[in-house]
Amino acid sequence: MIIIFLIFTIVSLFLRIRESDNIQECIPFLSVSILSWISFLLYFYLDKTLYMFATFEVTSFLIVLLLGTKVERFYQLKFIAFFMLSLLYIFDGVFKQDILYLYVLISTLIALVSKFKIDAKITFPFLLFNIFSMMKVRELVESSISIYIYTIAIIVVLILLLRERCRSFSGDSLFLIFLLWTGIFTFTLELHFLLSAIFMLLTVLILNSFRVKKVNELSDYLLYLISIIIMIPVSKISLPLAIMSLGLFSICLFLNKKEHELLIGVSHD
Amino acid sequence: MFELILITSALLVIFDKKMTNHYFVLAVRLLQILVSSYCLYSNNLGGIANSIESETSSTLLYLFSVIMISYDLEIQKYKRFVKEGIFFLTSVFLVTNLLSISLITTLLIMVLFLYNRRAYFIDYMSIFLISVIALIYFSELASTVLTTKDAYYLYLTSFSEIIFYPLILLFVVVEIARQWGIKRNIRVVLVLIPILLGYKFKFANNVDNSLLYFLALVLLVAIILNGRKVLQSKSLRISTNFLYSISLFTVFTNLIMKQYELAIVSSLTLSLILIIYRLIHREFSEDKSIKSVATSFVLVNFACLPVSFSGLSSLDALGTGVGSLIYGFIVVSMLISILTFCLIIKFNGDHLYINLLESSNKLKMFTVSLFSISLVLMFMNMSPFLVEGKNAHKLIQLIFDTEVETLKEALLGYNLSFIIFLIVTMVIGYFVKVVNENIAWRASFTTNEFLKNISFSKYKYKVIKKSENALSNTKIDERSEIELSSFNVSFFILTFFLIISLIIIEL
Repeated sequence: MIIIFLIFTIVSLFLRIRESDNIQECIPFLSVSILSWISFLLYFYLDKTLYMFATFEVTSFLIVLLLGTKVERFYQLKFIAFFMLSLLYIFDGVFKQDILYLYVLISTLIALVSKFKIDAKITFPFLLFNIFSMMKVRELVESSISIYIYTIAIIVVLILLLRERCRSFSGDSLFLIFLLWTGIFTFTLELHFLLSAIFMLLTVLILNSFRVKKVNELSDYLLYLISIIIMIPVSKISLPLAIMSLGLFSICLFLNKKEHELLIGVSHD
Repeated sequence: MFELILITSALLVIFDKKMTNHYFVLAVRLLQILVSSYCLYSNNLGGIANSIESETSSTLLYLFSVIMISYDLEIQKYKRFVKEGIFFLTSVFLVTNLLSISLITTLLIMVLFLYNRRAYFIDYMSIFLISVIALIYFSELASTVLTTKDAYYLYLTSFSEIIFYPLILLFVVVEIARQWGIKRNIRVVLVLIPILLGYKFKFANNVDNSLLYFLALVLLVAIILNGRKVLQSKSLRISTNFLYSISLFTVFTNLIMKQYELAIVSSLTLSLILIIYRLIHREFSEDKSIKSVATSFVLVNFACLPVSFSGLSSLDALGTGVGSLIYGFIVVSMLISILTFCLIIKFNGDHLYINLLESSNKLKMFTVSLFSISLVLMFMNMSPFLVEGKNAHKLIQLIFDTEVETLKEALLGYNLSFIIFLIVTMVIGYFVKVVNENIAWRASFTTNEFLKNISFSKYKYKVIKKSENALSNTKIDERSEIELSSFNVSFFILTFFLIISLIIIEL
């Protein structure tokens, strides 16, 4: 897994440096990448859960406070997350796993929502760092209510898609990406599926933040493929829900392609 | 073998814009195909090929289908990386023995085609179907222990057991139905791969027949609805596509009757005919007479005439003793095919007419070679009702290394249907010849309007029911006759009818 993250870091650095004429513009981007890699390495060497947690919090605070905009929203969400953690103490460890699960969900939301002022592309290494931390937490958290929460989330996303007339099926849409992330976090996927899902998710994120020409149209199809992978464990809970959501996603793909053809022109054959 | 394909494909993608000679790409592709099929034949495969458990028995199948698919791809205007990607994925699909890999490759091929083709809703239906198939399969796979060769058939819920194989067949139906429209062409990959997928999953086929009959009905209705376009445009390209899709209906019935090898080989043969037609049209785009010879070749082979490839294969399907419903469907499709053929000849007969005796040597050579090709294709696919087991379905025996048994019992039914088929062909041909062109046009126009206005399903249902009733009556008569007939008798009757029809025409 670490190789995938390494590849994506190198590719993102390459893309960032190619984009700008002056290397000094890239310095915030570089520093965030280096910071996140330092914390990756720390995750490996620190055994205790508490230290890992501290590393995660310190790194995210550093990055957001140094470079982020809308810090008040970050603080608000962090406050809710810490309040969740304080519940852990109040309930005396009874609902430990469930509370940790909710905490991870809120941290994911923070990662997706936060924006950066000097260089908007810093979002990508920050997301990379968050995904890696999530993969680490995956081994610790195992909640029983997560499946129900996830089922509700799918239904909500389907309703939202229908409300927006299926137009927001893209890598930009926050709730879709959030759903896929939490799907990877919630279920115990097989290793190959997990790796390919992370690979595709990172590809979608990199395409979204860097706007690479030619390949950018592929991101919809990649999203569809990831959603198939996520639906595999969902189908064990309820097959009709999984089939229904795949059907809606394919309709969304169709509408997106139709809109694209109207804008740019028809493809061959 | 895949290492070679990957490296050369990557080189092709990289040097795409620098290459000016078109034949260089073809040469590289030929090298890839030859070397990889030699590797398959000698069982001398590389690491990647071994890791996906490649199969060694069907080198010929690999060779045939890959050559056709890659030619079909090369003449398209797709981007280079899409072509190379589809080529690689199809070769993985053909070679692999693992069901999971073949499902994933199918899914990826469909997605790549989505990226390139004009958006129609039916495409997205097919991608939805294949993704649901993959979903069910992988959710089973995640919950059960892997056995050798993936031959699990332990279903998670009873619902998925009912739904699984019909979904694959429905995928085949949708793929066949979405092949062509006014603005798109038939892609050989999209015809071959669903049928091969059905073959690979053949052990999952333990479902009730009535569901499958329903699927056949859906396909037939889709084909008949497409027939409107033939009536509207009268163009040769669209009518060949229509005849091709009717021939694919016979292939689909073979698939339902669990004759997977027959289905694969006949779809391969049909695609071969189509590829030859396209090749001639591309290479001799200037020469009108050669093009018309090729067109008549393809029309004769696709139409359900008693002497053509697809006609004989439909008769073969009739003779295997299927249920009465499928019998009726095949008969309806054959009737439509003959009618379309006669109408095409009536509308475009002047374009297709060539005076062969006074033409150039090149044209004569072309005609003779195409004629011999169609004869060879016919003899390679002779049904066991006509010839001995040793010579029957020669192509299947070559490709799949199996043996066909000699049949003696079902001879009567086959021959009788052959005779009735001959008579019906004569009658329809004569009818179309006699009918005035204005009346024919008006009839086609009114039927077109009729189809547009009235809800389709009811109308189709009535048509099918009527033909079914007629058929069941005739069938009872057939069986009450004495065992006298053989292939010779039917041949005599053919000549007899030919003479009579000649007399009628002369009068």
